[in-house]
Amino acid sequence: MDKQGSNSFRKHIRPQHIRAGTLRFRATFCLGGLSFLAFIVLTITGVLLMFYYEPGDRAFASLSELDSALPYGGLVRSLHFWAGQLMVVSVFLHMVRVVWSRAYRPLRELNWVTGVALFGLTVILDYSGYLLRGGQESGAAASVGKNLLKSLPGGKVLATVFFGQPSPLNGSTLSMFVWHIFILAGIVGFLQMFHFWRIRRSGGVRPL
Amino acid sequence: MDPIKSEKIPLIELQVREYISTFLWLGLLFGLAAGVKVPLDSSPEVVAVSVAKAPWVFGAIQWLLQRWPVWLSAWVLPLLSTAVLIALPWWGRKVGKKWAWISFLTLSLVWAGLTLLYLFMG
Repeated sequence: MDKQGSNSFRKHIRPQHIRAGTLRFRATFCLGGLSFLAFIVLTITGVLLMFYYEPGDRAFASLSELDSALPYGGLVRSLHFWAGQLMVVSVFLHMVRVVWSRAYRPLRELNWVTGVALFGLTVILDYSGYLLRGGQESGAAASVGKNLLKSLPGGKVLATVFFGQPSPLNGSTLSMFVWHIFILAGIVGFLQMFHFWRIRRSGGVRPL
Repeated sequence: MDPIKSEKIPLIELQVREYISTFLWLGLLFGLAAGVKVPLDSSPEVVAVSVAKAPWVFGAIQWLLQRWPVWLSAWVLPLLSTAVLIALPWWGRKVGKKWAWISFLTLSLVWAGLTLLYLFMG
């Protein structure tokens, strides 16, 4: 995007003036913006965790060391975990608010569909993060998920592409790591930008 | 539209609210992170313990899986619910605001209720 293009996108997302009605707290409860804030915190803490975390066989050991030996390692992991849980809850509550205020009505249908997709992807991101913890619980959760995918026609290939080859005692694999930090997080980031752009286009308030 | 609601105001008034919400939310997050320790899972190096624990976001599906067939619990019911959600703007127009809200609320309460059932009685 050239400079003029990026300027006009910025002004579209952040116009100099907005409608007074959209500022009422009850119009949004700030839930969309707080979901985005959770995503920002998740991105920052996720990047910090990537410096130390090793997917695969060493996943549990690397998290254990990060928790106990690295200064503030436990706090960063804790922030990442809680931001993830808060994001799932705030996206869901945001959907409840949208239905309550009928903000899915014409002109905003596409944004509603994008929002539903974002909710689904947020849940899957949370699940993939759970598998990356690398303990026995994550191994059990990966086995269940893999078997569910395998029950579909052609699901064996899908299961291998998404889960890799997890052991029953460790759900962390390189495939899952790539899905979690690049593919799923990338799609969620892109869809959020599209979501905000559509909100402005339909004349609604900015996300927060 | 109400003339007061449609009145144009400068962006800074929105930004002030954004900053306040951000600080409050970050306060809650840091409070949770500092106060509630996130435990590690059971080590894969030790003797296997019996764990078939789903993350809470999939608790409802896990609860259904323990009772009903896979095709119904893991695929038909979740996909049907998603389809109902996606189509809400279109069928909501036909049934009206009240019924759209009641249907959405019922669907949400069923899934949230199953999640709570799994968490506390699963």
